[in-house]
Amino acid sequence: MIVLTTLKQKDLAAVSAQQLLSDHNNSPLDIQRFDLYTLSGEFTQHDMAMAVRDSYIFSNPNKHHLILDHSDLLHDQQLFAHVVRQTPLNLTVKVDLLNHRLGSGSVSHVFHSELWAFTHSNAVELNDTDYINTLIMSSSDGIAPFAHPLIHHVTLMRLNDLHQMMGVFTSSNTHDA
Amino acid sequence: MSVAVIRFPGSNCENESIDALKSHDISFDLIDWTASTNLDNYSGFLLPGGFSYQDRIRAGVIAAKLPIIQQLKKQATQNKPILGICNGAQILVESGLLTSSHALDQIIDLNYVDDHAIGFISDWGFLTPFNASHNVFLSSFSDNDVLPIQICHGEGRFLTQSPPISGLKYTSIAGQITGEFPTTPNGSPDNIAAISNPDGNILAIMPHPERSILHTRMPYAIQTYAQKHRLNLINISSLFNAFKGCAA
Repeated sequence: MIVLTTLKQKDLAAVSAQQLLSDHNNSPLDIQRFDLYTLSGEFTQHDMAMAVRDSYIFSNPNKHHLILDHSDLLHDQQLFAHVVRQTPLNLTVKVDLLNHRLGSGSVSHVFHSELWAFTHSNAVELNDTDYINTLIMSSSDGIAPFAHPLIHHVTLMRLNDLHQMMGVFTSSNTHDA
Repeated sequence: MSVAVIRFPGSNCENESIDALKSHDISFDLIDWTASTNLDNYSGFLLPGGFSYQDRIRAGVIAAKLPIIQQLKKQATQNKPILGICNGAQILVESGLLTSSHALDQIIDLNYVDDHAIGFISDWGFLTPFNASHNVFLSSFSDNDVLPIQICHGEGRFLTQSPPISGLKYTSIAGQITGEFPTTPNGSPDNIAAISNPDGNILAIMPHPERSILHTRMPYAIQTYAQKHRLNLINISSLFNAFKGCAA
């Protein structure tokens, strides 16, 4: 199961990133940042969604938007860069909190990654590899800050791909790793 | 000629770093990240600790992309001593300055011990140099010296594609590299606490030498234990001797 959160106020990491990229030929019009959590184990989506919504484990409703399904914050004008650790780190504290909440040991892993959403005023004439290398992946002579080549892997997605990853249109009752 | 202490928005250890330079009679200038000063005017550089740009995206990455760091890279080719402490170390690593090819094959990652993200740590620990003679900041020490030092970071785990040629490792008070928590407090593979660049003029150190030079700051328990067991703990203060040539 995928859980997305984003700040209700402007994310300052996105502000700094936009300032860094402001002089780039393909500077985006807008950058949004999302925390993406991938939950694994044997649980029903319904039970997990309730546990997530009713707790502060992933979001504080005063500060964050919590996204488990369709959202106006995700639209097809955006290009998404999913920055994932090559070796995922299990957030054991969140695993324990969720299992306590569910009253079971059904959650095995919670992995964190970042989802950056870029909106461009015009079509960007870069293929995915060049887009990642010039605008996403950090290098010693490049301006991009979002991912580090030693620890991160980057995937570019459109809204359909993101929805598929989130399982927004699936109707299955169980979610496995 | 003097040492430039380069401050970024969110740096907070510049005063202690300056005090450390003063204690060695080293001339310095505190310059901001926006300074238009010609860095050719300086014979050494110190990037202090803190939380530049609030550690946005990754600690040190925003500062690493700034024009002043690009200028610093040119200064590095002239073999000038460059010391990065904590966040300063993170900035140097994110800029690629610690590798000969400037490839980003090193990173300072979050503290992670035994499959747990352990968060921010603040404690005293001990370091020991390896291949000390290779780096200008370590050359006054001997390999296997034990240096007490204050540790204070949430992202201090060095990950490198190839082993560093010289640097500092976490050790116990008795000089034993155990590889276990809390001797290595942040899960750093191979117990790395500081790394040198291949040319030996740059050191990126995660613990805080500038906070550790006064004997009176060391916890009493460490002092009495060392005394009781007749352990020879070495003051890390000598690290700043690398800037001695920069005195006015």
